[in-house]
Amino acid sequence: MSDSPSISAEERKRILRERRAAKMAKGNATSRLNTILTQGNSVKDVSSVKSVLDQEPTGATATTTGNHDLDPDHHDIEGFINTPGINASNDSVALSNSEDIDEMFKKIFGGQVPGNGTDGAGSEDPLAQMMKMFSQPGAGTGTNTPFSEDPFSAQPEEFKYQQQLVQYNTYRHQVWKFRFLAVRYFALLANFIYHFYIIGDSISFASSSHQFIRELIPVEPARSFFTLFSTIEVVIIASYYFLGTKEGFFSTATSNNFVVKLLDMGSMVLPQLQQFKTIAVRLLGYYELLAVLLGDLSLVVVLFGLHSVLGN
Amino acid sequence: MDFELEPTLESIVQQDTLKWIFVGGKGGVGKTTTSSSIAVQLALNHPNDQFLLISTDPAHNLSDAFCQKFGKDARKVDGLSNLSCMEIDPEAAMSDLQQQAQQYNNDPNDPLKSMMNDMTGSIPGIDEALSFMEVLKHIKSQKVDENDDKDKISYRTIIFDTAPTGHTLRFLQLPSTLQKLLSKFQALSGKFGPMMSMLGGGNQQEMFDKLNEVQKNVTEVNEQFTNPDLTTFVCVCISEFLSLYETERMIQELMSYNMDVNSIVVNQLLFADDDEKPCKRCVSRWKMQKKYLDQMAELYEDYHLVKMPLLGTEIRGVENLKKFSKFLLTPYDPKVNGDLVTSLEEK
Repeated sequence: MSDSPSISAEERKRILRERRAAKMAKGNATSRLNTILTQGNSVKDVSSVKSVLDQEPTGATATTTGNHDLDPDHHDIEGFINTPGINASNDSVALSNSEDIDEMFKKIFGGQVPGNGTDGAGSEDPLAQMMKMFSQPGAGTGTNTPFSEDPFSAQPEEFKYQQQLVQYNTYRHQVWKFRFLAVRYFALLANFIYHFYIIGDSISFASSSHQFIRELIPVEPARSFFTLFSTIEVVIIASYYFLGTKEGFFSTATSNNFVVKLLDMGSMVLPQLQQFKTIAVRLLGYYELLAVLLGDLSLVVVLFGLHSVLGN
Repeated sequence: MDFELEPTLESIVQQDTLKWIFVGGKGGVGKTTTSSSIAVQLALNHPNDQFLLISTDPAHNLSDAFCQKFGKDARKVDGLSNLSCMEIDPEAAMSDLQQQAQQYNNDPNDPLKSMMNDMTGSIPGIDEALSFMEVLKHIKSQKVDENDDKDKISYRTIIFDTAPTGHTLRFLQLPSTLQKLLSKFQALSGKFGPMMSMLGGGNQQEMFDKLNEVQKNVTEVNEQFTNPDLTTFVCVCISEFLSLYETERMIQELMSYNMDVNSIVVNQLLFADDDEKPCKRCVSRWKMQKKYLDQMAELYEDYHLVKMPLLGTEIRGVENLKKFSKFLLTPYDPKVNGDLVTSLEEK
């Protein structure tokens, strides 16, 4: 045992470091752990452990050591510490991590998607839609990740589906609108015809442009008509609102509205506009209900007009 | 070529370039005593330089070791003017950071916030990194003189008394992961920047900035911690099976982070061979200790293996630490230095 006087302290430290690394390489780290276990553990048939230094590299970083001299005392030892067992363990961890990053992103962004895109207002949240778009896995090979060059080209089927979904919702909206229109007109006409025939005389259930005639008319028949009219309107509008919210066709209709589109465009420049979008969507929904009421009132006006013209 | 490695920490104490010394090991093996002893010896051997000893173990023992109350801010040790101590809980530092973030952004439905939380939960080591960055930030804010540079650490060497958990330095494997993650984020930021800005009201820019800062700091710290001229790790153990096994595992884990480990301190040795009136229990236990010491000598022939005695009393107070720590630099000889066992002043 002798120190070589010609070696500097720095050189000595470096050689010692390399010697320590060499003793951990090529599966020796695991064998050291197992030696300690074998000699000291009270449970002899303990299953063998594996060192963190001997974890299998998962990617292409695993390089062969070639014909490097593995003698720890040899000065030409630099190549040795590049073996997968020592420094590459870090790289392999990093590499596997990098491979997992896409998976991680998918998990992160996938967690942000609130629903299936058809749940009314939730499907209108642009961030949710964006997150959903990001979370779509690459088509086919899986190499086309959500963060690859063109994320929008990742899933044409998905976009086609979304397009069809919007069309379907619009169609359903129209169907329901027509059904309600039929019910409304039927109820209104029934209400009108009922009062027209029950009351019988031509003065009690008629409109007039002369105030003295209007004052002659008993109030009760008209009040009965309008009570029934209001009840029918309340029931119809409430049902329409309930169905519209439940089935989600309100949101489809409002998203196509030019006010909402204008707000969307405006918020690209002025992000604060985004907060008004929710209010606009809600107001547009109420506007649709108001339109129902106004439409029915118009019909009543027309019916009374016809009655007053034809009745005279 | 064979080297005779001295069984002391002299190389560490005398090394001028060392900026960081970590002391770690299983619970109850004497980490705090060893880290305090190393700090005391550094302070004594370099009276013109300032040293800082930090406990990152939530169960702080530095106050107990020095018989003096220490807190979150560096405080000089009574009787050693060039040594300061502080006790930091990295978890608490982390929750402080989270609270700050919460104050800044208290919207529980903020998707970016939830995304950030998911992300920190998904990257192994980022918790430790963020905690450690907070600790480092706090260290940087500690100044010996008022005139010290704000962004520079004022101490020549900082000694860490680490927590017994094994993953204290797990974040050292983080930079490459973080680098890849950030490049993805940056690509995303370039592509969807305006849209993200619209949705997040500008918060995402701060998130990127924060991640960039973390990445820069982690890379910088990683470079320092994996440089053996600047950083070393001292393993502390006792001569028993579990301690030896855990020490070997810790060394291997540290090597996987490319961190330098060249010294092992074996504490609580009985040296019962030379007792005048040997107690049976001590003899028997010393026999067991010798068995593991032999194993260590074989396993760690390329390490500085420092053997420290078990003393009659607890090692508390600066004077006792001075007496004990001497044997980190001069090998303890039970025949010559045997009176140390009973000579410590009880605190």
